[in-house]
Amino acid sequence: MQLDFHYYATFCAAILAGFSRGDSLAISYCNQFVDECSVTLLSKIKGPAAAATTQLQSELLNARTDRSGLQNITRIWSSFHFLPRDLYAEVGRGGKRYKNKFRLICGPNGALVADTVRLAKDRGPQAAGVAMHALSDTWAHRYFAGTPSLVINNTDYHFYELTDDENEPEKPIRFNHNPLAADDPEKGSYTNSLFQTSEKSIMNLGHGRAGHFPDYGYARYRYLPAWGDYREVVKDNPSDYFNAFCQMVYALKYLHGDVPEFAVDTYDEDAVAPYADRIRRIIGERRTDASADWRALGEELSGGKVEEFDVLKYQDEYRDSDAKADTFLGRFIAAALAQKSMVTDSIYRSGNPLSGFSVEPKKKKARRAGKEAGENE
Amino acid sequence: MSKFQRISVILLGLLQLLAAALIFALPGTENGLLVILLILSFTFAASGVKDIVRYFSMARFMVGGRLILFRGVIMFDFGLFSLSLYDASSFIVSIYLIGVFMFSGIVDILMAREAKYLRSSRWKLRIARGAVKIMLGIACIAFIRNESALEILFGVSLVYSASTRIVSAFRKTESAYIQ
Repeated sequence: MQLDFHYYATFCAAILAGFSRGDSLAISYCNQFVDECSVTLLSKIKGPAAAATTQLQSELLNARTDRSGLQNITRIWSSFHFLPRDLYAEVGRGGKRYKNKFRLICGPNGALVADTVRLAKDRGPQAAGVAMHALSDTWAHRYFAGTPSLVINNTDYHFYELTDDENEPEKPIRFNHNPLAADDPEKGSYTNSLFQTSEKSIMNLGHGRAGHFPDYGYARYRYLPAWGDYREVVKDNPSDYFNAFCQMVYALKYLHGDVPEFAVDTYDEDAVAPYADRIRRIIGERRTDASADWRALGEELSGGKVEEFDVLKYQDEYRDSDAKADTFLGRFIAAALAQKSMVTDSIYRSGNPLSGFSVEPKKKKARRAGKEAGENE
Repeated sequence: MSKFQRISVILLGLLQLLAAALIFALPGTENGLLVILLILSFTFAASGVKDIVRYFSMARFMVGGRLILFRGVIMFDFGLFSLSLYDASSFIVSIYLIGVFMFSGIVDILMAREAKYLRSSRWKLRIARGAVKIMLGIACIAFIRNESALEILFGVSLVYSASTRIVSAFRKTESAYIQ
């Protein structure tokens, strides 16, 4: 997903869930900030590198793909952009290494989505924004894994867009490798990453081999995922994105305190119903950026202007503050660390070493035990 | 890089230095050529075996995974072919060495071009590596009839490769833990 959904659509969802205008802006800002908070940005504002929620293309190209480098990549992408659907999935083939990679395949309504939303409860709009990013990406990025893997993430020439045109019900997607070329929905031409036979090449991270195509709301397509044993997968983004929106409204109502418990596979279609046709239209229109329409809807819903996303907005406040933890970005960083730690720990506990492990829970436990022992003395 | 990986990389670099020392110690003899062919053969065959193992452990479950198997078999075959050249004349071995240097150098330069295009800072190191290989290839052409010069050139390439490998083992890498 892109800025149009992560920022403007999330703002609409937060307003529909009952959040104030200010909180809705904060939630949507933090949702989009997950796509901006790289090590480069953190070093600029003097923040902790461990809180990175994304990696720039230049960072990825220079990232090492040895064990710890891969774990770092996997921690970032699995925690925020490719939340694994089932860490204990029955794979039924392959050795442990293959199964570990297979179990990181992203998808909606997994246990980790529920854990993510629950983790954000009572932790402020920053944590809600981080959680909404991970939740909505499970719909856009399903069938791909947040770890570099050829055997999981590769795609090939068998990739067709499904259209409503009776004369041409499906069009082959043509991928090119020019990072400077804009995607062209009319010609069906999209930029993707290079085919690299190396299993761990960063070109094989996430949906790189399918380019940004899975990130477009209008995209309906069928293809052969590398892990699919030659079975075609049909992906219907208009339907998935609508579900993502309805699930966000439901999750945000839980975070707002209007729903007692968060359950997966639940969508607040009632709250969305008055705007459903319009939202479906915004999602389904063939274009690479639907910001203007989402923004207009957000302004109607909130009765005020929705400012443009400004990545610099809170950076000075954080950099110049003596109490960084209390700043807007300080709270975002705390939420990001908590999310990364929770997902890393869950993956590690499932017996999967691909994301390394989080020392935080163990350290905390040891610290708490030490403190209690001191108090007893 | 984990400690184990650092140690493995350093050991591999030291092995390359040892092989280079062996070549320098045996210039102009048949044994020098044999060492070169053994190294080439082992490198290709190991790469082929690695791909074949990867096919049977993971890639056979992947759509289009047979490509990995084919690549592995071809590389392994190259390994056997390299060893079979021991009986051929030193001139043919020289031609083969030139081919290996040139091909490998051109691949490095093409990859560097691609890395630069994608705005990676690694392109400089890669282009330097490609340039060194091509220069070695050109030097091989210049000394095509001089067996000991060829051996020394190959030894130099091994020293260069070992040095970059060992240096890379000492480069700082990110921590595997969340602080």
